Amino acid sequence: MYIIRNFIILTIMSISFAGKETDTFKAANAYYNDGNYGKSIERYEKIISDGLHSGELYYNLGNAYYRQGLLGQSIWAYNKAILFSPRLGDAKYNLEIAMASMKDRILLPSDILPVRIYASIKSEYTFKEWLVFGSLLMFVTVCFFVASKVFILSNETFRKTISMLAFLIVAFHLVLIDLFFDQNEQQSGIIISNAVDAYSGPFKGENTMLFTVNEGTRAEIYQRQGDWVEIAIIDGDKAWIPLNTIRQL
Amino acid sequence: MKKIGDKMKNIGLILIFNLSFIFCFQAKAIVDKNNIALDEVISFKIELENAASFGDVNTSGLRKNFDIISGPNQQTSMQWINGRMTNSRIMSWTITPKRAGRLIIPALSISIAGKKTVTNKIIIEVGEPRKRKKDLDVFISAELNKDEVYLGEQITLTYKIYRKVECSIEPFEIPKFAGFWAEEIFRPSQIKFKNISLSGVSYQVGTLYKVALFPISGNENILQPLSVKVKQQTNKKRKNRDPFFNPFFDSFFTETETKILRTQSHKIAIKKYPSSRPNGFTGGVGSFKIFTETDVDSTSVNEAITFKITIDGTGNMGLFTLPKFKFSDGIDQFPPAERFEKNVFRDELSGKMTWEYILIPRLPGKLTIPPIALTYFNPKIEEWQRLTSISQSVIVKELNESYLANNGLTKRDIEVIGRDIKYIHMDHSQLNQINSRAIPYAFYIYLLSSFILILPLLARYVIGYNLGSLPGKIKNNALKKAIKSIEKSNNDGFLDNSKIIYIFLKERFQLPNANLDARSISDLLKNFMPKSLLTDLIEVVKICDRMSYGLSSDDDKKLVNQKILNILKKIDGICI
Repeated sequence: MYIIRNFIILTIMSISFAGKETDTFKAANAYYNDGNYGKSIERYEKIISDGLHSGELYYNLGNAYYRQGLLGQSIWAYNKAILFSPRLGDAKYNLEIAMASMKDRILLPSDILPVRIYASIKSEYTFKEWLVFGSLLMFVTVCFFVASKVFILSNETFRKTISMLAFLIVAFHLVLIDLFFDQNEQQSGIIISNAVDAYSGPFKGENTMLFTVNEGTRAEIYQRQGDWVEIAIIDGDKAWIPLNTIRQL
Repeated sequence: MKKIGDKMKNIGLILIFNLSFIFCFQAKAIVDKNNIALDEVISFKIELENAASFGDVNTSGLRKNFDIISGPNQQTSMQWINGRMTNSRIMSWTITPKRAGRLIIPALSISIAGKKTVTNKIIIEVGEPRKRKKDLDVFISAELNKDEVYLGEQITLTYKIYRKVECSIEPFEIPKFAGFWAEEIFRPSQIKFKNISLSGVSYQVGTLYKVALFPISGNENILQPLSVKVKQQTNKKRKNRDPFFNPFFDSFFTETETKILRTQSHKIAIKKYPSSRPNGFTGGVGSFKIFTETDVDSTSVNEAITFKITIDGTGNMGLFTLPKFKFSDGIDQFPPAERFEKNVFRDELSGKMTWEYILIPRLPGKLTIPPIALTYFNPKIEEWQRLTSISQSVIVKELNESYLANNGLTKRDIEVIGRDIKYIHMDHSQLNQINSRAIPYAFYIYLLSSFILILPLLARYVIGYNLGSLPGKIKNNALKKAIKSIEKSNNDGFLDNSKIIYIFLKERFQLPNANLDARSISDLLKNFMPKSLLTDLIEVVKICDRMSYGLSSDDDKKLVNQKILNILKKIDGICI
């Protein structure tokens, strides 16, 4: 009863929230159509600050930022859209266009084919989607298993089916574990300002400037100290930059 | 006990006495004279009665009308009168007024051990300097080349010192030039003097500081006076020596006198431009030339080129920016590196400002950099002027494939450069809560799966229903059981294999009769399996029956067991 009650309350709350925010979303789209990208960004960001989000919302926000000339912010928004809706093809396309204008480019050797295939499959679905697949597979396998124990479904084909399902369960859940660690182990962000000087310590003072990063560059966030964060860019260089120059994914 | 009590009482009295210093102190401000000239100094003292320490004095109120030349100096004295101790602490400053008139030394707050008190305020009458300039032995002046300028036009300000007698100059602070951008022209490490005649009086004159000032705002700006402290050798006149001036260097006939010299403040009027500001004016005032150049005439796609803009001339260099201009599409540009090389020529600030852009052409073809136009005001001819650089062209060749590998761009990057992004999605999707704590549906599915998994166990232990004894289960396990029995027969010696076959058939086909033989099997199973298989089965049953009554070798037994196994597997696989 408790679970059902909570579920109903959450559903009602979501519907009422979404109703109000949908109007803001439409208003933001209208501003975008009028070429008023600044106002459009304000509205999209308002929805996010109100605690709601969706793949389309981030995608539209990315477009507004791109039109406004804020390359780093647009790359951040497209990345968020893809994280939220991995199969949003337009977001992937626009991200490619935005990234082609980036000043910093670090090319790493490409992975071997199996790793590329695995990464491609893994990134095709969200963590929640993988969780649903895994749970459904588990359900089907358990039903088959119990049926094999209880009923007369015990011929060779049936047994092989159960073994295959069990193997798939293990594989799905390994992907899930991998995704879980991806999401929780390391925070990453996108540099949103141009020509950001990165220092050896969390203040300018006597610290040495190590390198300069430009907007759109992806960086791993290690730790925060006051208004500074320690980052590592993809080639492994670590340094401190002001907090307001990076936006966490 | 009485002695100890007396001691305790004394200690208590001493403590109370000392604490009274902290809580009951008084402060009094005094000056040595209330009526002075602008170029004279005052000795200002704060006397603290019964204070445990000197504490902190807030002198910000004092600095409003007076310059502090030295201090605070500290002095402590203690007196015992009629067995009572009084404690006196004196802090003293040497100060000089900033302007003539009726000036007030305000009540200053003093804080000692968390307790605060204030001093009394003192009024000081300050008159104009008593001596005329030509009667002075030493004075300083602020000289301007002009006092009416356009916004951004240069004024040259020179501070000079004039002296008739030997004097030493203490380090001094240049006033803040509010409303001006200041560019230092000359600051001597050692002042050089030359002889001049001023209104018939011979002086030695030296330059203290020279600065180029460019007004940046307002209609009228005021240059604050410069104060300089000098030590001058004068003939000895009086016997009593002022303790606040160091008599250490005094000779027998002369003594050192400290003086505060101050320039007058100046008003600078800011003229309005003769006509309204034209478009493209970014603040340049003076006389300039503009040049542009590229480091190469031809390049390849993605190969960086340097585009340099140089502005050369005299005026408010470094105070204005380049007008806005746009490079053509298909070029990535990096923020320019700015440089200013200062050059002072006849007290006029001149030099060279350069902007170096790194440009990366992304598309092949002829890259044209448009001319850069600079609009500025020339105060000498009082006119607006416009300069335009010549446009630059660079041939951009097709992408060199071998270069691509070493460049940041991938083939896909090259493909998408120049394309436009796809349009926004108008349909509002389901908005979800960020950091939603709702339990995912998958959790319920896992829960249900777990429940189904333990269902057979629950059935056995809760309602006592053994799923393993179900006819279907028995039927499924018949072959497994038969195989186990035959393996046991192989290991332990020849058992009654016909019995194994009968049990298998009974369980597999759920036959009602327990007393089976070859004939009954044939009748019962004729509808369940092909005839050939049934014949083979009957034959094997007969062999087993015969072997159970006679002797046979181990090899024969194993051969028969294998045959049984094959037939049973075949029956289990074929029959429903």
